[in-house]
Amino acid sequence: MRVLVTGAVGFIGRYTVTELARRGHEVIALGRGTAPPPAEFNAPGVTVLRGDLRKVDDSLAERLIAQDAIVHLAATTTGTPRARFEGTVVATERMLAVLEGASWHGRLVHVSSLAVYGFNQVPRRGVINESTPLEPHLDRRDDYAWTKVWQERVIRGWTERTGADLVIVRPGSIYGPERRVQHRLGRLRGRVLLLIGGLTPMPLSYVENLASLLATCVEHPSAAGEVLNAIDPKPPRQWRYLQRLWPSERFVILPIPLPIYRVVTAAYEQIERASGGAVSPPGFLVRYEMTPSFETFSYSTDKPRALLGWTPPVRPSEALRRTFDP
Amino acid sequence: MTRVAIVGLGAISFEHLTKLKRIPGARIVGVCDLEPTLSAAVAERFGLPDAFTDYAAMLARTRPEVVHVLTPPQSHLSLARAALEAGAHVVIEKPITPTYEEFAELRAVAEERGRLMCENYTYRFAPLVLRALELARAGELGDVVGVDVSYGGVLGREGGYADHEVLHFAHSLPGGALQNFVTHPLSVALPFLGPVESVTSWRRRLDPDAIGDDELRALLGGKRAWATVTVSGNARPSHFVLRVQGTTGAVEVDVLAEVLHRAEDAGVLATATRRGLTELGAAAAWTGRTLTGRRDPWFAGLRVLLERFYRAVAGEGPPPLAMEEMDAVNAAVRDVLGGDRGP
Repeated sequence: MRVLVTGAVGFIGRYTVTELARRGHEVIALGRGTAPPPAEFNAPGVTVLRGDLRKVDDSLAERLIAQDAIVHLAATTTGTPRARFEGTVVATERMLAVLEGASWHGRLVHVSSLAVYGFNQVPRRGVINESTPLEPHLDRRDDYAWTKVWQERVIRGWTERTGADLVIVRPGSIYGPERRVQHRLGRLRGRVLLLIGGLTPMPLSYVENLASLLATCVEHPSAAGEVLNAIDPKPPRQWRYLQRLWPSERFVILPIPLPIYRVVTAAYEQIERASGGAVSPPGFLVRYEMTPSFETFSYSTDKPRALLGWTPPVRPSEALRRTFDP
Repeated sequence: MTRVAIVGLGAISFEHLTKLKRIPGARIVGVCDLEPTLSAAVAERFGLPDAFTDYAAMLARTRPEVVHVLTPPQSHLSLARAALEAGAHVVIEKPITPTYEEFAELRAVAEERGRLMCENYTYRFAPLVLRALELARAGELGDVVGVDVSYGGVLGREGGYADHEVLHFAHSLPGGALQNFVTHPLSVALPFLGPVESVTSWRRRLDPDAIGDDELRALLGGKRAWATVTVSGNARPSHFVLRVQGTTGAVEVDVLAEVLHRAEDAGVLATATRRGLTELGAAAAWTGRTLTGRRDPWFAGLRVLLERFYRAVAGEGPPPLAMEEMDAVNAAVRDVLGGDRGP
């Protein structure tokens, strides 16, 4: 199949391009910037294309509509809220406008995030699965959740208008050799890690497993119209992950037990309300915003297997080994 | 309740929106941006009633009493003029206009309509800068003979100035990207300096990857004092520091660290102790503000400026900035950016 990957030079993109090429597809790796492409892109079947979805020119448009499938990873995850919104949501709109204008009938595999779920409306230790409702109060979440929810809204609007073939994949926290430090551990300030909790299971997605699932979503007929959470089985508790991470990072660890964190954040919430906003907590102590990262939930990981017969090719212990002891 | 509308939902709009939510007399009645999805998303995020992409429609439908013009500077003149002619006061982001002539035009419209106009001089209203100004005006420094303002670490990659694909609006200003920053140090220096009698300036590009000049130095002569102004794209860490030197004392303000030091003739031990205690006090205050969500060194001045502006709109106080002050700053911007290139 002819598949184009947006955000191809990013962390997930590179593995995705490689996996699709390995499976014999004709892959176009679309990326911004002028840095030389990674060595893996010299593989047969891979074409590198420079372009920016914020301003799709005619030649990029032509390439887009010639594809059988698009895996959409492009996003701007740093910078001002507007820059992130433009690089993520508006860029998506520009791409969809091209596809809609050409009545494109390929498959869009959109890579979203667990961040879109309304975690605060789920009880502690409750289940998070593909039917969990999305965040109802975007004004209380961070910029990332804001852009990812809007991105899904914009894509759904397009699907409703065009009847296009859409698969949404919502990965947990993605890790691999190039991305080992995880925000789900706590807050890192210089060499000091404020470990929030320690025993909380982390919904992780090893990057090679995610790339494999994305490739299967491109190929498999049953993926059409589905939403899939991409979380590796048996989410490890934070301390287990930290144990593997620590030798190479050697943070100074300041643990905050979760019960204390809950009390402090709840107290701040009350004080903020009572003071009419005159006193507000520092970012990492905003309960509503931090719940998705640090509270305990039960994540369902089974839908890809049940629906597509797909199992993660790399087992968790091997994934950790490849990440920390390459 | 003063009805407020915002046009231009870029980075700075989030600062204006959060500050406005804390001003009891202000009620946001509409936001407008050319990007429809962004407009809707920001309106939803801040719980605002109406999102527009048509500015004229917003003015007609929401009838605001104040309009915040937060678009790139190239559109300020037309947008602010339309707001003034619709009877609204205006708060305009810096640089207020790309040229001094456009500023003068806008000033004329505002004065003719009897409406308030205010350029956002965030750092001019930073609490410690105001304190330094108080000290100077009270004669605590004696006769002011020198002012040094240094603004460094601007033009970083994070601001999108290095993006070659989607050019930051600042690069199309007549003075280049530097024009997007020089207003701040000049607006801080001029109140201490008084009327400007001479300007000499130099500019150059140090970073080969920068789009345009990224270093500026200026020397401004007043009646009895000199001011040096530095805008540096390459200096790190980012800083905004002010030093005012007088005949009986000096004051140093580190705006981002939120510390003010006074220097007087005193023994070494006394001076060192005083400095040390000041730093400790500032660190304690910093910690307190962090724990209560009030640490905001970059935009504390915006909060002060807007509070004073809205009091003036309600007739309860003078405008924070007189036209003459904005005129002097914009003339200085013109003169500083027109200087020599090279070392």
